[in-house]
Amino acid sequence: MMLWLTLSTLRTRKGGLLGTFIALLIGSAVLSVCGILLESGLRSDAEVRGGRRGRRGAPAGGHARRRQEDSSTDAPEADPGGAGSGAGEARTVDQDAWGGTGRGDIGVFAQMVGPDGVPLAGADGTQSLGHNWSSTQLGPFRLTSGRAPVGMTDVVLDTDLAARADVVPGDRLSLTTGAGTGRFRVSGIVALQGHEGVLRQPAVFFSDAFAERRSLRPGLVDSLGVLAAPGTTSAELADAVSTVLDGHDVSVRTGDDRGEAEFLDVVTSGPRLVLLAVSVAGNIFLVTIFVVSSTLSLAVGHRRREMALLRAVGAAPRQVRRMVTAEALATAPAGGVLGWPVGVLVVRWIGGRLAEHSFVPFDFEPVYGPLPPMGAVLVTVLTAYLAALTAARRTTRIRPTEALGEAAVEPAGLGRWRTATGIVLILGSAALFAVGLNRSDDFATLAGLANSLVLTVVIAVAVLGPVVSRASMRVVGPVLRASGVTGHLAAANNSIHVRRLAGAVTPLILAVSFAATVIFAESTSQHTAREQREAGLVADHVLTAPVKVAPEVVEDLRGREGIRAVTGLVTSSVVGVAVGSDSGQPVPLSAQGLEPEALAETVDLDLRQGDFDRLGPRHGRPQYHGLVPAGAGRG
Amino acid sequence: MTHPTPRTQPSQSAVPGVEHAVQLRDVTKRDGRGPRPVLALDHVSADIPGGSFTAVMGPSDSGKSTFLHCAAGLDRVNSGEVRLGSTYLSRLGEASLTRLRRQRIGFVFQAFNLVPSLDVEQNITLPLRLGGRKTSRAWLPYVVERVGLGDHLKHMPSELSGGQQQRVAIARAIIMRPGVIFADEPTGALDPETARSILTLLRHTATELHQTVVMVTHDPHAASYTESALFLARGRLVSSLASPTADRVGSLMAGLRRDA
Repeated sequence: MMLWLTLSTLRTRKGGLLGTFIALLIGSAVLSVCGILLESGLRSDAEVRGGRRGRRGAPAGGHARRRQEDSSTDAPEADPGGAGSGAGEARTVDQDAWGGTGRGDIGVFAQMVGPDGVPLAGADGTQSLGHNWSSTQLGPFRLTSGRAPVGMTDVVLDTDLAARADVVPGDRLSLTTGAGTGRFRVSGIVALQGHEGVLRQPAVFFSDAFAERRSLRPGLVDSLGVLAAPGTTSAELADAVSTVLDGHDVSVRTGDDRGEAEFLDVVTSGPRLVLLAVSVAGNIFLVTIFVVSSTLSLAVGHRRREMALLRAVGAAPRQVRRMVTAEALATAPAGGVLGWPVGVLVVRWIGGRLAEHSFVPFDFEPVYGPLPPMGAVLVTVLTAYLAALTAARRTTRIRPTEALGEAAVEPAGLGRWRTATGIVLILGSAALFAVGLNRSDDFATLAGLANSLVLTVVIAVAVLGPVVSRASMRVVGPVLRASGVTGHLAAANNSIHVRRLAGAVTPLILAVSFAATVIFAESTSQHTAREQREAGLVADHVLTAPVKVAPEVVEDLRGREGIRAVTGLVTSSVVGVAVGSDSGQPVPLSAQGLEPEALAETVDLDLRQGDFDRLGPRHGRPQYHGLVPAGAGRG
Repeated sequence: MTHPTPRTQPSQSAVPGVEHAVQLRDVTKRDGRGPRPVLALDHVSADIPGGSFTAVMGPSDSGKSTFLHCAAGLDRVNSGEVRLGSTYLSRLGEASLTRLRRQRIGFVFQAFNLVPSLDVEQNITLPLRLGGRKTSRAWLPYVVERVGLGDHLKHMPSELSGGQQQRVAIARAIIMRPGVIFADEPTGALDPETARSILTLLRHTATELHQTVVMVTHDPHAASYTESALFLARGRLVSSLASPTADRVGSLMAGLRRDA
């Protein structure tokens, strides 16, 4: 019955209806975005590990794709915990005793240089990585033309890279490696078997001898791939490898997890997306409830007398409440459903932005499953219903006698509970703020704290809305009055309808503060990180290049006249897993690798404990300072 | 009777002379809005016979609006009894009171009588709809014709004149065949000629449809259309007139204003 009344009355209240509808549409769109990111975060992670995504052919031994063609079993992989494994370990693994063959993958810095001297990038601007020839077995990569690299200047490219550089076997090309830029001869071209399209990371293969000499980690391999002998399952093999490598700082991975050993960005992007999606979705859920209940409350305020009339002619309070909720529920499904395509468009757009900021891998592709749209519609309807319930609660206080010509008087002041709640929230916010000021935790914790702080402050403002708007009218009122007749009327009107003003202001406060937290938290942290880097750099000159500077350059500079000290510095990122955290969520941290010699001359890292002299190939120990943890690397 | 029987349950009190449609016994109502509570109704007792057209009169703040609120179950009394037909209002809960207003009381207010987004027909049948009932096929056209709204059923309230809007309100009040129709200054916002036609319609509602009509007004001319007038001053029932004329009511009111 009340649905009929709602629908009949909707026609003449298109404005308010449109407001509710738009709020729900935007809410649904953002929830869709969060849903897609959440699913992508959860699923793309698994897909990458499983190597099902076309573009994620892995050049570094192709772990993610390895063995799919020539064996039905998933071979285990020994991941040397980021530190590299000794060649001796590789030999240990390379035994037939446990039914497998081990192959070490050695990473070599290899940047192709075009004829004009400008570095050539792969698809999506990815940087190529060099590998030892014997690691092609792990892909497996197969020669499509030419032959394997033998000499120190021989090089083999993947199909896409060769096409990009426009070379065929026999041609010559420039490559920047650890030894500086040199000329190489293309001896052959390989393709990853069973893989179409572009590799995730362009691959350049050198002879084993070259790779071992120019390794990023001399004497070590990046990872060991183990190929199972026919008849050996991956679980058996993994057990055997684990037993053999017991005591070495190495982890063994099989199946989907192998991708994690290879691509750091993939490891962190999943949890990052999940975190982003969940925090944004939570906030948006609250914001939408506030906005929708505000627009509905505003509508209820405007229709106060109409509702009093309905009460007078015999509508039960329940019927009037249902009329308000029915209005929200009538618009919610449409808003929820239409929000989905908007959300998809937004995801297309922000996907690129996220990749630009290295928030997700460059080849991030959102997953569009059936659950997010269903969830978005469901949550939108739920949001609308909750919002409508709060708005409808106000109709209960409408007395039928108000229809008999009494002025529409707003209930003055706040209820006792509302005041108490507001004060508790304000005190809580103050406590949060104090805690935040006195702690120098890592960025993630502080950012989380800032988010909760904003949320409590905003809810407090919403709860104490009328008080806040009354106070603000005292401040703004004189200005408005001074601005002429219209301003005077606006001020007079606002002073009287404080509660209604609060209803209109609260969603604005919410939206602005929410956007401010998200945008400024990010830019503040970036600003702080840059400041810290700049403050930490006390050297007179900084040498950079479009591609990285070869380590030899450092040695070269060090001997020259007029130079007191030179420090090689690499920026990188590491993935930390908090000790004792239940979730074991990987936390991405920015890191700097530094040469320990004469460190104090060139950088000032605000050392808190210990000293840099202990930094050495075996004494890497991260020192945390301020917001950005600085990882101390090896020289 | 010349009109078809409505499907809605008519109140027994609609039968004239048999029973009082509304009875107030020793009713007290405090008005809590001011700085100190004042008695808006001070031990008021009144009997309104079924099928009659009664005016409740008095100067401003005499308690006549409170009288209507309490008699119509819109507000609760502090002491005393209000009886509508055989029902004691003070014994009803909020839900029963709402149902009673819907089924047994009709309202005509001074202004803002209609839901602006519903057309004339929907406004008239609103109480039926709220009660989940259907309109009798014969009864609605009869009522519409009685109040003179034949051509306007599909019009929106904003398209109607003030007098036409009051006719819609009267039709809405009649449609349920209530025990009493309460009218609060129904002609207060109308020009004299339109007011006359509305007052005539209200009088015919009482005399020809045998509907009890209680009208609150301060206008002696309006009171001259009624069969009897009750006079309130400072919350007390101070006088009453049978077959009031505009002159007699005017002089009585002038005296009350002087005393007030």
